[in-house]
Amino acid sequence: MANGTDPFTPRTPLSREVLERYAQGELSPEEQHDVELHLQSDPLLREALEGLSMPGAVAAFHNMSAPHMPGSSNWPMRVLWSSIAIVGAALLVTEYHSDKPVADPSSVAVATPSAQEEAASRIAVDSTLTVVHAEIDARPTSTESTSVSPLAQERFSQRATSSVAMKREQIERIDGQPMKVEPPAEVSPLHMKHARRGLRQLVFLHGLKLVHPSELYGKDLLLGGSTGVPANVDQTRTDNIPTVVYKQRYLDFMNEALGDYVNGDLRTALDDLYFLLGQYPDDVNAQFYAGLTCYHLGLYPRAEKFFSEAGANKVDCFDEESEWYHALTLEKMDGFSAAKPAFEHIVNAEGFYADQAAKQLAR
Amino acid sequence: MFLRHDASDCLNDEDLVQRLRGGHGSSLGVLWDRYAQLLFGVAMKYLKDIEASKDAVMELFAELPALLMKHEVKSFRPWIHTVMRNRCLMALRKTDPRASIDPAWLEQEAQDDEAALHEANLQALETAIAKLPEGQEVCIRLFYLERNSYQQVSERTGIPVEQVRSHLQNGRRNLRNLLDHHGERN
Repeated sequence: MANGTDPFTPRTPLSREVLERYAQGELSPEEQHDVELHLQSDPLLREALEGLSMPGAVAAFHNMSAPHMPGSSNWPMRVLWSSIAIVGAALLVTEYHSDKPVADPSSVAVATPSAQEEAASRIAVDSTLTVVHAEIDARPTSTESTSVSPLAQERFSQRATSSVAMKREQIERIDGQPMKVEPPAEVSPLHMKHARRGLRQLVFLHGLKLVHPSELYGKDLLLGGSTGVPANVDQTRTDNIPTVVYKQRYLDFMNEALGDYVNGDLRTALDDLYFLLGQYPDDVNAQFYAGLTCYHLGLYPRAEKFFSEAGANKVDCFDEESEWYHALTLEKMDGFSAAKPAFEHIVNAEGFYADQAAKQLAR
Repeated sequence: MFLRHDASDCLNDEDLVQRLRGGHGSSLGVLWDRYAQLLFGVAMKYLKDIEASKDAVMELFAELPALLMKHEVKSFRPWIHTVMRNRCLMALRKTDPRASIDPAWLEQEAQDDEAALHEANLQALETAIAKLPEGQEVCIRLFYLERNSYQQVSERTGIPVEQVRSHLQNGRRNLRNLLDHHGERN
């Protein structure tokens, strides 16, 4: 394709002026598009923007003393990249922003359960993950889409215009200013059937439904974990190297895990979900999304187990979804005849997936 | 007012690497100017720790001349990106053996493989786009062919901007694979 008609090539080079105007929203849509073409084609730029948009990153770099090296002239690039970082912050539009704690050597892990129990569960999780990673590496290439299916989007994802979802559930949307939606005045028969379910407080991260941790644990949980060794530690001394521990809010953690899931990084998402399940094995959110992640990775026996657990969980917000995906998983594992009773059960229950299950049976 | 001017500023990365190998230390400073903050950003993304990220950048540049003597670097930009990412991964694995970087990222970001996209004729491109999953197809059409911005694509489709970006990245990768396949058959 001639350069002039190549839609993948930016038409103009990036300049500081263009970036500043982009950050300030002064560019025409056409000019914005050209900047975004650069981002699409430059993985280094994309990743750097992500890191530089973290709180304090740009200022920290400005305060960084460059090693003395001939030929270096930092200031023009610093001004340039300051503007890029602003652009990055503007680009990295996420549904949920929070004050994520950067690893703080002075912080103490708030580990619930106890630190000892957490350490033990980490060992168990690590051991499990070794097996899971081996399974992932050994599996045939999955043809499953890593994106959420349209059906799933309708059920447990938040649509762009979510009026239907809002009528069904009480939702807390976290997008800077939490928005609560009053319960519907008129309750549908389906809602009556799942009255308890409808009263659960939900949140949506990356458009995916979650039961709010306060519903599960009575508070927004803090997860404990280790994130590394302080940079100033003498690595030659292997005795008693202190590990930096961090505490992270449940929703922050799930935000990262589901972000990885939505972006197709299923392996990392599964790692995170296993980590959470290591500390909270009955967490219905982690059970369901671990199942979904395993399903898309082609780890069907694991998916089957997770969907069974999520479906049997006393928190019933994922009952129907779990049953539906459980049936699909059975079909993947053992064929249609194995899944047929599950599809029939879904049809007879006349729930949300009844029509889809009927279609499966009619094939 | 004095304006700094150095011939090194005008050289491309690969020329700077060659000069550095030849003992021209000034090239290292130019590479620092071009890449230090980008690499700091990459380190921040993975390590999520300012001091550790600073250290990672400093260490990498300190070792860069020696590394370049050991490795044949055809394209500096993706190479230095990969080196930094691997170092971050190694740092993370010291305390968390589970830390991993999905190989799909590397495949997705291999710029050398992008030729199929740029060399495809319009008809082949249209055919390949039509084979993409629905969300990717519509985002690719609106962004690349109709030249809409992320925001415009989001407004026209109702898809959140974050997901538009995700569709575009995945769609671009799939498109490249489809076009590669098409090229092999022809």
